[in-house]
Amino acid sequence: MNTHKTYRPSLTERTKWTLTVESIAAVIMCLFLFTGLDKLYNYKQFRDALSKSPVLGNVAGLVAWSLPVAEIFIATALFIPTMRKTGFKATILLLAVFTIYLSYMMAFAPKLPCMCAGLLESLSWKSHIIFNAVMIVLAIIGIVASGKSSSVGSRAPPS
Amino acid sequence: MKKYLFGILAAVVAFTGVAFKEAKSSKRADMYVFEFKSSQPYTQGNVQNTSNAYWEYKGLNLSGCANINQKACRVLVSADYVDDPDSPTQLSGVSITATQSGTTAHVTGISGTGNLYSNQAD
Repeated sequence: MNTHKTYRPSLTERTKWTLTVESIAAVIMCLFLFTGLDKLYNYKQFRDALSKSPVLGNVAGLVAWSLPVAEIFIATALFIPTMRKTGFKATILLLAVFTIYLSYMMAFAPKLPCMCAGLLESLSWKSHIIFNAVMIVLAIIGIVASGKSSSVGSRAPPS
Repeated sequence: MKKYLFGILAAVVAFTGVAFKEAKSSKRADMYVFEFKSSQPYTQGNVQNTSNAYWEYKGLNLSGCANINQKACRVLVSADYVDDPDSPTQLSGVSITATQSGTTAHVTGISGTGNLYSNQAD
């Protein structure tokens, strides 16, 4: 009699979580690559817009290059499966800081034009905050799904 | 390779998006941005004076200011309204209208089709 039970993890469930992680990572990666490259390409305009900001005016030069570089680093982290969780965490941190900045700007300089990339340029400050919140939620789902996708099937088989 | 598929797809979309955006913006007519010199008094006469002693060239296609009508900030004009489009130093053939409110003046009008202005907080 064969006493060894073969435990087969639910492949569909694992695939579902993996697909969720990869889709979310791809969306955020696309966003950061696009905005990061756009900022570097239009460096002069981006730096000028930052210099008009009441908060970042004094550090416009530093932020103008470090922000797009950080965005591209996060996109790279999200591309590498082993660094994906770190990428999601960095996404939450960056977007949270950005949302705090936007909230401050909305309160003190609501008429200042937004120097955002691509489609985001047409968003109002308020819409931008909502967009950031959605992205933060996606990143949180990404972290949870990363945990699920690696734990499903890796647990000890039932006795 | 399969696990990088989504990432590669995302990178392709992002690069295409940037290229598409740049191609689209390169078709748009350039706007020359001049800023009122903050070292000068913000009087109505000074703001209306288009000489480069008051309005200095800042660059191409830069954004405007906060648009709070308290004191002059920037004007954005097309190539027809600068002295030399290849190497602009001052406004040319354009007139600026300003209104004095208290100690500072802000721009209330600019001649020329498509030309823009924006003011800032005092």
